[in-house]
Amino acid sequence: MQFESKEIGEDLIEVTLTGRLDIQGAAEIDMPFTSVAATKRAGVLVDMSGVDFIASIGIRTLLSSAKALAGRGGKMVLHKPTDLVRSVLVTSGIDNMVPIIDDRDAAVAALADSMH
Amino acid sequence: MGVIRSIILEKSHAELIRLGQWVAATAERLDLDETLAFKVDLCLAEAVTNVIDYGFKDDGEHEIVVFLESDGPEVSVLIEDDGRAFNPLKAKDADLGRSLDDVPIGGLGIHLFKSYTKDLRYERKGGKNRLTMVFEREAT
Repeated sequence: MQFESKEIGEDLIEVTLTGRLDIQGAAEIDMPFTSVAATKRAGVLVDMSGVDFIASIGIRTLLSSAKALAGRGGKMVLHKPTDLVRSVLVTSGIDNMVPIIDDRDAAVAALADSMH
Repeated sequence: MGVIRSIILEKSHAELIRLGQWVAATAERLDLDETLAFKVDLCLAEAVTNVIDYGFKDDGEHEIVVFLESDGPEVSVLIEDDGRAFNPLKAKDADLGRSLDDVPIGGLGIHLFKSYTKDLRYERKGGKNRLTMVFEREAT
């Protein structure tokens, strides 16, 4: 699984995930995700459009990063998961805790709002 | 009787990667559509992860055998292991927390494969757990 992160604004970071978020994918992104989530207070937009599979272990990885961010006053938004991945996110109830926002401007606005 | 394929796994997390590859190859051979292949992939990953993580008390060698049968509109998956008796149908459903501070760590896998299967059967036979998950092909 590939992990890329870049600054897209003041205290705003975009993380792009690509590949399978299974036990191996979760292990591969755990470190970089933790370092993004734990280093500073930030709004993190997670582009999920390139994720073609997710299992509960991947959901836990997303949640633990979201928790770390929230603990610092930051926020995470999931952006554009495929229909199949979205159904797993919704069945898991993670969307009650980490919003899924498909419109990119709306996702960025939600993050920017929460940071002020 | 439909087409049956099987794979034997050891109780190691590395085997989950081999399992995922086997599901992808088997789904292609049996002409499963993308949605069905995804569901089988997910449910098998969750169920086998639980067996590996919680099924064995000793450090000895164990086998987990997975059978996949395609028969008409149904695809059935049987997972057989010689670990301690565990009926996931009787497991308490995951208490999915409503806030970030209240998220349970376990139980999510069972919740997922309960949600994504049409039918789920469990039996303990000959000292083995036998979990059958039934999926339905979408009408074409």
